[in-house]
Amino acid sequence: MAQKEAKPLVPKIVILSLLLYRWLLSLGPAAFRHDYGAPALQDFRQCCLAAYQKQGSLGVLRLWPRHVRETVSGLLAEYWTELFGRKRPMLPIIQRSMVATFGACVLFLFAYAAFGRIVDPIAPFDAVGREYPEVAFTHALVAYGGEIALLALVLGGLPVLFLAVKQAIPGGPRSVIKLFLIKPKQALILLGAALVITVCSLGFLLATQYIFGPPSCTATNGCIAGQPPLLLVLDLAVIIGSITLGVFVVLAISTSLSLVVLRSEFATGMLRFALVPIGIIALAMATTTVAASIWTIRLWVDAPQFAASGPGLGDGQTAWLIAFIATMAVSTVVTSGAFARGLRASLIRAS
Amino acid sequence: MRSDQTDPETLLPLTPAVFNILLALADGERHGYSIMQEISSQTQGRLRIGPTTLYRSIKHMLEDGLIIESDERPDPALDDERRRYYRLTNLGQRVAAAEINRLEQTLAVAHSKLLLNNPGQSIAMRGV
Repeated sequence: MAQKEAKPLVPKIVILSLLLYRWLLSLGPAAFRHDYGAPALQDFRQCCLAAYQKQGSLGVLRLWPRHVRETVSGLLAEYWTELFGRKRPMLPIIQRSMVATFGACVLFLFAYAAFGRIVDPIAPFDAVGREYPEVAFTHALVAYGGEIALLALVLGGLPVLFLAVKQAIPGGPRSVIKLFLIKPKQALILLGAALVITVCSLGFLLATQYIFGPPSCTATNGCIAGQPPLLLVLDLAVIIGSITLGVFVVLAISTSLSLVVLRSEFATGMLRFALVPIGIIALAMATTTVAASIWTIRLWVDAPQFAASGPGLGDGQTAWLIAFIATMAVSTVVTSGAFARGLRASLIRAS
Repeated sequence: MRSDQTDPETLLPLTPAVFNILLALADGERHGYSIMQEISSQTQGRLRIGPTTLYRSIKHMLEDGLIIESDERPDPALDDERRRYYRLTNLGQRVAAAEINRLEQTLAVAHSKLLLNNPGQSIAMRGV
């Protein structure tokens, strides 16, 4: 009887590395795993064996940080590609910058509107502003900055949208609908994101109410915790459901408009033109965020009694204000980064 | 997949991984691990790409028509028959040439700025 040929023993550290890499790959998109999982695993095995032959177990362990980092970032990028597609039009970086700016601007305008809601009614704040000019000045900067950002978004976004739809029209109404269409998987992700945003916002609201709100809480004073448990659960479900729906609609519209940009191909001139409103938006956002921060600080420094009162920034409103300013700051950083990347891509292209 | 009439300029600039894969395949067809080794060798170890980046790039390059999977399989006795071999297409060659041309132009600009010849001198001149 012919003896089976003995296979060379694979070191345990290599087997362990392969298990780790296989597990990492299993987290990636199914299509990529199906098409390239086996050859990637085979090549990784060879990398491990080569490293083992050269430096033993330590050599294999040294591969881990680089490969884990590379695999995680690669698979995340692959998910992004799967969800939003991959286009190689002219200046794709500027195209992505446009989408990043749009998303950041929507987030910024939400925080800006919420900021405006906190300083409503404006009369008592105006009274403080008359006494302290820097408070009035920074408030005016906040107001104008937000309006300029909105105006630049509309004026810069409409021509882009118009061109994208114009390109799709020859393909018939179906092509136009397809341009705006959100896939079911994307819609589910957006719904999940809307739910997370709602729950986080409500959690923050309840936490600030608990910390800064009035001490007594009864069923008659409108405090949510004073209600019977069943009614409380029902109320919470209705509140969460309706807010989630609202957030989902906003996210869906924003995503749909972003997809229009990603699915269309624009001329170089058009993409370069888009850098102008992106730059204006970034500048307006930065001005508004800095002005809002200074305004809040000045209000607390110049008129602390008013700031601590109910009509001012008392009852937890300062905590909300800080959250809104932080949101504005994040949006500004994203937009500025998008503008810098787009400008660099444009300059490289031009050189 | 893009046709041979595609303007190579529309695919530029290439990522370092894609450019180096094109260079690795310039000598002939190779399989994944061999591409990784060749990239490490041609960059003196400065660029090491892992299997995930390699196959993501290969996927995109196949979509763009820069490379194709070779139909011919080597003798199973000599090589693992599960291996996939890739080779450059005509468009892939033209895109690689266009990228080299782009890099040469950039290099020429860098030379004209005296950055490569005598960096200390150029900085001192600007400082004055």
